[in-house]
Amino acid sequence: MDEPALIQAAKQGDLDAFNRLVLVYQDMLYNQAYRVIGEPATAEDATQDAFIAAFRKIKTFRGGSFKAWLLRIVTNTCYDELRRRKRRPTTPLEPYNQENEEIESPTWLSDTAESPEQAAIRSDMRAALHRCLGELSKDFRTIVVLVDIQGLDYAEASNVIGKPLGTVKSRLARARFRMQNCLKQYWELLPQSYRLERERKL
Amino acid sequence: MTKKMYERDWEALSAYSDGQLSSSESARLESRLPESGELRAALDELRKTSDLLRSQPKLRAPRNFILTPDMVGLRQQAPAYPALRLAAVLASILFIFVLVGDLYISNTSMQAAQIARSPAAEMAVEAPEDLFLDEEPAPQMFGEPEDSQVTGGGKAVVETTEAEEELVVESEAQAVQGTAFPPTSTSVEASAEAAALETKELMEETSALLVAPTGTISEAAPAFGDDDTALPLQPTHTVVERVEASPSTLLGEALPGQKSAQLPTEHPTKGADILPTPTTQLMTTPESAADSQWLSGISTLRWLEIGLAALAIIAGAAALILRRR
Repeated sequence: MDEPALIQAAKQGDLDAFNRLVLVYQDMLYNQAYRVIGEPATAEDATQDAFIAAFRKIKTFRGGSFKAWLLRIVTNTCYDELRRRKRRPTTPLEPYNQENEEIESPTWLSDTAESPEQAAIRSDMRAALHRCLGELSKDFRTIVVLVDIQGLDYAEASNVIGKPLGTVKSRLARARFRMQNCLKQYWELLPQSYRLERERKL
Repeated sequence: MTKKMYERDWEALSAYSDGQLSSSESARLESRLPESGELRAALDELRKTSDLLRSQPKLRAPRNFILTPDMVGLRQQAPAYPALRLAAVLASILFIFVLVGDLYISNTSMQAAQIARSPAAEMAVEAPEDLFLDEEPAPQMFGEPEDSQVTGGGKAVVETTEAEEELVVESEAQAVQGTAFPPTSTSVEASAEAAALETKELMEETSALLVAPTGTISEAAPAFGDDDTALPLQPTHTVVERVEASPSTLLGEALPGQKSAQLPTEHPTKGADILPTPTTQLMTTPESAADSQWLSGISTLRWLEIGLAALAIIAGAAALILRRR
């Protein structure tokens, strides 16, 4: 069954049809939630809540990009969660081990296909990226994740955040500028060979 | 280059790196790039950052986020739930209708009863006077027969018969007035009229019977004077008995005004020992009969109300339990 038919069936209350859409989009929504919130368990909850909200509001979907519609819902869910966390004690973006010590090179994001050195560097880069993303405001973080990580074009991103294209363009430029400034300090910490290799690729 | 200019160039470079600039804007920017090393460096940094962000692996969802009916409030309802819910609603509506109807009927009946009882109270106040007046001559006639004989027995007998006739006429007039009594309820009116008619007939019979023995003064006069009261009083006594026995049940349904009207029909002589019994019956029987009739009607409605309320509560509670499951 194609996506419009599944959406139509879900609008009629067919939960099985909606669950097929869930299977298609759950990775994308979890990625968005994780990058915006920065914490896996909360991102799971936000993703689940977003799907529940999507099923309840699916009758309001008037066509267009279903992906953008879902991303908008999960983004709003993440904003709600961030507001809730702001009222309560905040959870740092950095993971902690069992001794309650911060993990400098988190293995929970490691790619086992790489060599240990490459994995370490990549882990360092991921940790740096994660930290820099966490330092952005939620609006900047959202637009960076949507365009640079999720790969949406400006029109789709505009649809997700509900702002005009000009806002997307300026907000993304400023978010990238801050990300670049943040990453520079970590970039210089990387091995010389890795930096030269990356610069040659660019 | 001012900060504002720099931000504008940075924004153009960001959009240019994403291929989101229009052709004219892209051409303008591309014409400036060879001349400005700062722009080229900024573009390189921008691309490096974007590349780093895009190189991030797509995370897989740690679990499936498939929804269950409980999550979205789609619970399987028991088949009996809609029926119970409907029954509860219907029982509640019927209960309200019956309750309103009951209140209306009760109000109307109470008004009718109040109106019906008000003349009864008046007549009840008047009744002892009548009784007193009726009873008073009796000792005079029984206690002083010799005096009446001495002062003129025939005259006394004539006066007695005249008094009897007047009483009969009065009783008839009061019986007729009883029919003219203004009731509010149609049922009460009908029963009152019927009872009044019966009472009137009875009055006529009574008057006929009373007139018959007393009409012959020659027969009645020596009877009083000779202390042989058995023979002339016998017909009167039978009339009183008839009044006491037969109309009591009929009058029980009639308006109280007619019962009081009945009292003067009793013969003053020797009726003193008989009168109290019918009087008390007449004063109490119609009220209790009306109350019992009213209560029987009300009790049916009460039972209906109780049944409907119980049905509504039970069905509602059962539906609630099924829904919570």
